[in-house]
Amino acid sequence: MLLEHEQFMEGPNDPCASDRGRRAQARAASLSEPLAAFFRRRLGSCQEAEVEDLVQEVFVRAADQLSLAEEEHARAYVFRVAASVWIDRHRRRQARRADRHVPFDPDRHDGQGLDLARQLDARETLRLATQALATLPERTRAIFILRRIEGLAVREVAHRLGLSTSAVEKHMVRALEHLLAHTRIPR
Amino acid sequence: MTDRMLSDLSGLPPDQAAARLLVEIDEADPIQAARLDAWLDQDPAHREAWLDAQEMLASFDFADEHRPLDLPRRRAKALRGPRSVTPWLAAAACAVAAVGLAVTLAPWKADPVAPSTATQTIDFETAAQQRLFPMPDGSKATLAPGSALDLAYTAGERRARLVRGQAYFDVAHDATRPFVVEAEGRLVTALGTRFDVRSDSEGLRVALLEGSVRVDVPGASPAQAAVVLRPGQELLVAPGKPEVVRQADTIRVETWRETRLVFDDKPLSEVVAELNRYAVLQLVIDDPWVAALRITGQFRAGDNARFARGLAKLYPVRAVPDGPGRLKLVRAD
Repeated sequence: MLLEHEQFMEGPNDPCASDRGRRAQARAASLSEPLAAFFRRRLGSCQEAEVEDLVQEVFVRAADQLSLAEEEHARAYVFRVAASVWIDRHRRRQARRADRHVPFDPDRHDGQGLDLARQLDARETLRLATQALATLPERTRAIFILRRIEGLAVREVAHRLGLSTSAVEKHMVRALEHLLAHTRIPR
Repeated sequence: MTDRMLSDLSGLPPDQAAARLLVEIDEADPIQAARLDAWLDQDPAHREAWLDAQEMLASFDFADEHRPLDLPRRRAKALRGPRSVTPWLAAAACAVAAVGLAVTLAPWKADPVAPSTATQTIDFETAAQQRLFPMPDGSKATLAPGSALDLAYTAGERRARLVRGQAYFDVAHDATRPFVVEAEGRLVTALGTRFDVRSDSEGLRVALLEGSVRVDVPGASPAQAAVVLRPGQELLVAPGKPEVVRQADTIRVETWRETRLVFDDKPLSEVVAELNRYAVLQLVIDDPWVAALRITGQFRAGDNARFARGLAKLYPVRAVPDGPGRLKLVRAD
């Protein structure tokens, strides 16, 4: 332990470290608005405080990768983190709602076009979606499951099934259209 | 990323347009994100359809607890296409521990449903943290953050491909099955040995800690002889530069995997300055009382968020966000 400590003490002027720091700062500055837009697209407008919190959460979680040499990789990484921050937020809300046994959350009924359909419990949505999945062709169903539940990339699904990536995307579009049509409650 | 063809959405019902956008739009790309925003702003029904689609997709977060999905998931994982024979292809382990994405797959080995090929394939990937991966032959790989490694084992060869990042290999000895790492078009061949391969924008580095490795360029002329490394040496290959074999800083090669900093009764300001050198998330202090707190302990370098959490448990301070990538340590009141 001491040896390691001394080793790091001997290079306090490592120029790479501060370069990385500067690069990360610049990246964070240029990514905060696109990230805010990402969350606004999902929350609707008039939720700026929450948008800001979610952006902050992304930067804390992605901090170690912000300085990646490749701009594109850093950006792609940050947006993957944003997707998982969004999923976690959704889970937290679901857990809270389940705890309280309150089926209707007036906070969410904010006049921004969010209606009762959105208050439908996620588990009911999942039940309907699972039923709809069963009526899809096997390959389309498998592609949706591998992408959305098992978390494989389009490229990985394509390789596994011997398809082109554009074919995989076409199956995904078909699956989504089908699931959306069968999970939407009439209004 | 930006030059791909996107479908024409005009005339599609909002549901169907949303389905296409969900699949085709990469929101990390500013041009595509702008296109999505334009569509969302075009009509309130568009935004509604988009939010409904998000909700539907989010419901699959609970897939693990929804038993009716168990069978379709097993079938989906077993499904293989006619042309999926390339050894790298079957993805198996997707370790995203640090980011906590929706799904973490348990690594599964050769698919029992399709034993047509004797190749065993596993993909490893790290996000924000390094990870140690045990390999099927008893060898161990440690991947640095942001790295990806594919394995393809056959009866005659253990092959790993470093897709990106850095990996350390502690190779189980097997004279009949060489262990070969593919990185940047080069093949690093080992028997029983410990070595480290890094592949990034600056090029390729192979550092040997123990044993012996040979680095080949497949298909190269005989003049371009293979490089054989001795323990303690490293090979550097940078674009547009001649290859260099030189003495490696082996302590540095060894320690990236476990970096801990030890402080004995040091002021917090000094501890933070040192920790900040290893992390992008910067800790800042502007209260002299906080700066003067005395710290003794051993901390993992590169994880300032964890340090701040730990500190808040032991000392009367807390961390508050201070702009992107900055946490300020303030007195808890």
